[in-house]
Amino acid sequence: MRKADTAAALIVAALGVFTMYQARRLPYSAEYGPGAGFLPLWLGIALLLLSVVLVRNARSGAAPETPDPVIGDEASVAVAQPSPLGREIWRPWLIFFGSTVALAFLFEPLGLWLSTAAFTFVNIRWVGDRAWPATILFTILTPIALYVGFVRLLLVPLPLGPFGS
Amino acid sequence: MIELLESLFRGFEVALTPQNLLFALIGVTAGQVIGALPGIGTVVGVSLLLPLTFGMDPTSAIIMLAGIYYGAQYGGTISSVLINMPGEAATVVTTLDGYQMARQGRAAKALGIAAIGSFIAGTFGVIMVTLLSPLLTTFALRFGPPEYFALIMLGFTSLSAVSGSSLSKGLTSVVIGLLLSTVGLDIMSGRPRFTFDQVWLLDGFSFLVAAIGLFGIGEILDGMLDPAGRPIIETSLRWRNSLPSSVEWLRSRGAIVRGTLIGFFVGLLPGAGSTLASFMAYSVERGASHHPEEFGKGAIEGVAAPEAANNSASAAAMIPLLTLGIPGSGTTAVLLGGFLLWGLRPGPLLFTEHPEFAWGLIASMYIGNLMLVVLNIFAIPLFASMLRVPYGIQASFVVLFAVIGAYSLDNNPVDVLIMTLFGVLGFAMKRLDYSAAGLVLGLVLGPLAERSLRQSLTLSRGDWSIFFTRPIAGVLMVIVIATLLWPLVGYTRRRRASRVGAG
Repeated sequence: MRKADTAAALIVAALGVFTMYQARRLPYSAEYGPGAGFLPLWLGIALLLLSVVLVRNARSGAAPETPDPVIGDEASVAVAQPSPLGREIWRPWLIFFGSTVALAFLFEPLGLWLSTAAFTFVNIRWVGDRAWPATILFTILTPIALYVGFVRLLLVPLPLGPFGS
Repeated sequence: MIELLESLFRGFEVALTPQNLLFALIGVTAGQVIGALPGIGTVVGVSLLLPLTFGMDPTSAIIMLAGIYYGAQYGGTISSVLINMPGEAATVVTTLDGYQMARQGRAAKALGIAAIGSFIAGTFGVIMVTLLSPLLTTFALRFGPPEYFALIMLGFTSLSAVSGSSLSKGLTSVVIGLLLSTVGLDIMSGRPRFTFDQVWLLDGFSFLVAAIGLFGIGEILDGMLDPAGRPIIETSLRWRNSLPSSVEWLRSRGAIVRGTLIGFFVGLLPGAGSTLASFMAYSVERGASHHPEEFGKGAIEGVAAPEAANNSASAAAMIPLLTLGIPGSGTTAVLLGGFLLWGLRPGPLLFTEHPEFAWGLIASMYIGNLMLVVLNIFAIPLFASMLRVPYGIQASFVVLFAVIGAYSLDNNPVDVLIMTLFGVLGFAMKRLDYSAAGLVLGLVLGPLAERSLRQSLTLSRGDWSIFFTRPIAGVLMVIVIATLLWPLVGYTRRRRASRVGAG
């Protein structure tokens, strides 16, 4: 976690430097007050300063500015108590992630029917680990439900691809 | 007062006609569904349905659209609690405790207290709309750019203090959100910033695209890595389980009252909206609580306060819209567009020239709130049954909704890709304990923050003391600085104590 935190802090620092560099190319002040580069420059400086605090916290292994226990989400707990992730976790995760990225790229070219059917098929079968009949049922019914709900009822103009009218 | 009651009575005569009752029911039900669908937020829902109302009677149209508006505030809670994915920005903070309650098998309770809190706050908001419109808009008018800037800073620091494991990580998220909000055309000079000659960057990043990616995809990618898997939470489907116990009610009632009041006053301010109200209510509630350590781990007040606040704020935002013609939020801005399309001009003359419209709308809000609380309490079993679906399958459907939601904003495939990128960023932030909510708040409030800052400094000719010499801004900025310095004080104290201990 220390390494990851340090790496994240360095990315924040790099972002800060990049922002400052880009902001310097914009006018800092305009005729009647601050210009377009004013806020970005200060945001870049803020990121750089924050990265120093983040590196310091990561190196000391603690967050001194945090008097209270962790607030919020279970991820922080998961991060605080890392456990090895086996193949049985990574395999469905990679399938899920890969199919999500594929859906993002293919949603418009393939259209609602084909893209969502393919995504549903892959995920119900290999991520949800359902049997073939359930997989086929979900694959057929999901695009129909999405079409009726969004295109017909909510009138959302979605790409329908080769099967669109 | 008699005159006011007469006007309201006439409004009820309009709102209680079978046709308008039907449109109110359609509106609140559609709002509930739209709010619950991640990515199809209130603004999108109202924008999508606005064109359908052009041929309708304006009073029926506004009753239906307003129903969608405040119905979505209720609906947004459902996805926040059940799948940790806010239906809209105003329910982001509800995920902190609402989802934890769901994981503990108390989803029905979370939704129940949210519905009750929302009903109380929503009804209070409408009563205040009825009674105090002229008086309170006068106070809101005293807010100039420095006050807005100070208020937004307070929202940022409050959020950074309550989310994630450290203030510095929270602030980093907010600053990155602010930075992303500067992408596109400069709001004052029109000069492109950080666009790198790419046309698709000229409009900047849509906060909804970012929110869908960060909260939807990011959360799910993280959830899929949970070695134990997300347990299917067994929730009793009986509606009685949604009613709070006496202990829970005792804990929540103060939160509801405080959330209602905060929401109302923040919602009054044009541009501030229910998102900031919910964050502030959560922060105040945590500060006022006798057991702040329970916040973020399923504290019922952590659901009651922000839910009351966002509903109260959504009602309050109608005041500047109706009496001044100034929208208080993104959705009321779309409603303003609807007013103009129907040939009505919101402002002081609206109540005298079109009393049936203005008072019919206000009366319908009382009825709509009543419909919503009944709908929520009795429909909770239906929504809670979503949890029985295995996580892998739930996750697939969330991705489908997220992709459709991102695409439908502008019918633009690039938005889907940006949403996916934000999803990867959200996943990384989640693993490293950076606050995604902070980034989204920075992105949402960034343009208003920048405009207020630059207008303030233009007014003062570059003198930063303008933020401290005006009473309201000064008080808010002192609270901001105290929030930022407080962890340092605690750190110094602990170091001193450890030195004394060692010595």
